[in-house]
Amino acid sequence: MFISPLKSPAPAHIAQDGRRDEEGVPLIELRQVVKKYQGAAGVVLALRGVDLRVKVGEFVAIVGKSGSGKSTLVNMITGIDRPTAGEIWVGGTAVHTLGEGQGAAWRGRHVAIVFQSFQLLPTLSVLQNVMLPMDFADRYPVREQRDRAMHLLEQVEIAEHAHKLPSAVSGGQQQRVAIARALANDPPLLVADEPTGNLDSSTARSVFRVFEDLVDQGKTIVMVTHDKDLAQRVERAVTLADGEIVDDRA
Amino acid sequence: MIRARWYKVLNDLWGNKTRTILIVLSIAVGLFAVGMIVSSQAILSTELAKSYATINPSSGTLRTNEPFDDDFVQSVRRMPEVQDAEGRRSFGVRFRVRSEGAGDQAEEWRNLQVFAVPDYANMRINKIRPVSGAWPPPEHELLIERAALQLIRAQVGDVVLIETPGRQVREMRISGLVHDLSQLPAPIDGTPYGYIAFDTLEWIGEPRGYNELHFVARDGADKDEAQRVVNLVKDKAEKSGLTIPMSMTAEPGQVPLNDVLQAILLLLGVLGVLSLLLSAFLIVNTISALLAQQVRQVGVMKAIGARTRQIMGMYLVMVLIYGVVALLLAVPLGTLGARALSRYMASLFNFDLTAFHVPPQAIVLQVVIGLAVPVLASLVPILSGLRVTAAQAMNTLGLNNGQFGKGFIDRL
Repeated sequence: MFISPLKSPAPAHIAQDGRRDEEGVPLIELRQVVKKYQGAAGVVLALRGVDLRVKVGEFVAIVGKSGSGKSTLVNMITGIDRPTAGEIWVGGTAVHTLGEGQGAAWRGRHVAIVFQSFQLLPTLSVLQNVMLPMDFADRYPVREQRDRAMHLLEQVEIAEHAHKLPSAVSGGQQQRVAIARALANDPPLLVADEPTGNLDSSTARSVFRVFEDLVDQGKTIVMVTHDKDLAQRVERAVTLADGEIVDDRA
Repeated sequence: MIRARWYKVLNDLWGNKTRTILIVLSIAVGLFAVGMIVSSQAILSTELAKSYATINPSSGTLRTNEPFDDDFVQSVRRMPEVQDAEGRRSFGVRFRVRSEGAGDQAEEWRNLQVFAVPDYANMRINKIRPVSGAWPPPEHELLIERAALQLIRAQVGDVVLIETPGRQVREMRISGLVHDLSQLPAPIDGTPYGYIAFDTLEWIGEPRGYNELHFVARDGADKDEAQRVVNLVKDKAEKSGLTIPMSMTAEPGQVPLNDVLQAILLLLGVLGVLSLLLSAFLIVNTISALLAQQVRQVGVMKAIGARTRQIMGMYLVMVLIYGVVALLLAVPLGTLGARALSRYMASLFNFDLTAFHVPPQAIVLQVVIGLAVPVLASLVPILSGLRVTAAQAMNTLGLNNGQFGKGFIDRL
């Protein structure tokens, strides 16, 4: 059903040192990651020395109760937030060292993010939402961005709604648009925070199939989910509790 | 092909038309006022100076209690410091417009300042220009300064009763209008001016002699030199037995009315700038509200790869569009306003506009202000709004993680 946006074969991701990724070479590596927040009630320890390795092409579910640190963990991986201590390496990049601007530029090219509540910009059409990351990353010529966005929308079977505003399409369709937007710059890693949390079970299954297709095409996916059924369908589930990994099963 | 980010800017502008129109109008009002005032200032200053130069204004004027004759005028004219001199007579009378059948109850007596010039055809200083009707003033008839016509509430052709200082009453017909730029405009001064032939003086009981000496200092005289010449002439007059109750010095090249004109324009300019400041406050408020409303969108843009400067560029372009649209409204309206204001002020100050050229610097000033004020006004809210990180903006960690609100800009 889902074809790679770039119509490329299974990926041959290259690490920063030029070495070709092989079995066992992690795309993501977290070393003793600690995150503390200064809240109104005092210091909150959201992550307590997390170690995690995710290989290229893996489909990993991060599960755990509310407040267990799942979202904090994916914010660390995407560089949206910085750790209090520890190291985060993604595709050979020391994400923990990136400043906000560097982090945004890196994220734009290397990480796709899918949010629970879609987070499409309400005043842009579906097509323009998908074009936006390409514009920011300046990875494709402006004249190609529209064609590529349209192509991505075709891949997620939503092209007929390209010129509608997000509010004019259903939640499932908005999530498909969000996935198309995430893939706009063809990043090797897709991080999804509760991507099916706002969808009914049928639509959630449909969106999950899109993710499975992406993994088949070589993308690495890290997905935060509450849905135990979905978590069981992925090849690896990492369980967090109180900021620590308490289970990691393949 | 437009980049996606500009679609967002345009859609945000178009999506909230009321907000856009309000901001554009508020900027446009300030720009209109500034453009109108700056253009009017330039036009009126130039035109007033041009008009004033055509009358060859005196650099000094002496008023005497005793009459003097042409011999004294000639002697002043021969002074090396003096370029030219002329004598006139001026005096105050009371007048009222004769009203058929109304008897003496018709109107109260009012003051009129009357001037008598020996040779209207060959005036060289403080020249009076005919406007309509008879010229020069026929014997026993009266010409009225054009700006004074509304003040005396009479028309050309009407007859007025003149009560001389000797309490004689004479009937004089208003036979024409003149323009005398050397006098303060009657509506400002409150006294109307009339002009009679020199031969009419004795008929209304005035001596046939001058009591005003107008003279022009040599070319190149500055204010101090003009004052020095006035003092020399004054000494000479006093040595000739004349009493000088009043003397006036005019700064060469300076139009006396210009100060009043500039003061009025300055006042209007201040109002324009205040209006512009108000629009700047509205921009600060609106952009702050807009960014507060779009904080999650900012976070999403940062999350999908937008750098802060790219997002800042979007909001600055939005603000620049406000400015450009406001300019498109304000520049032509400001030009029309300047035309109307210049005409009104010229009429109030009793001079004619010979040309109406909006100075390019007025347009440039409007463009600079129109673009700079919105951008500068929006910088603080934009910088403050964009300081929020992607994580904070998207509230994924709770909006306040203990950092926001501690910075200087947050506390503004």
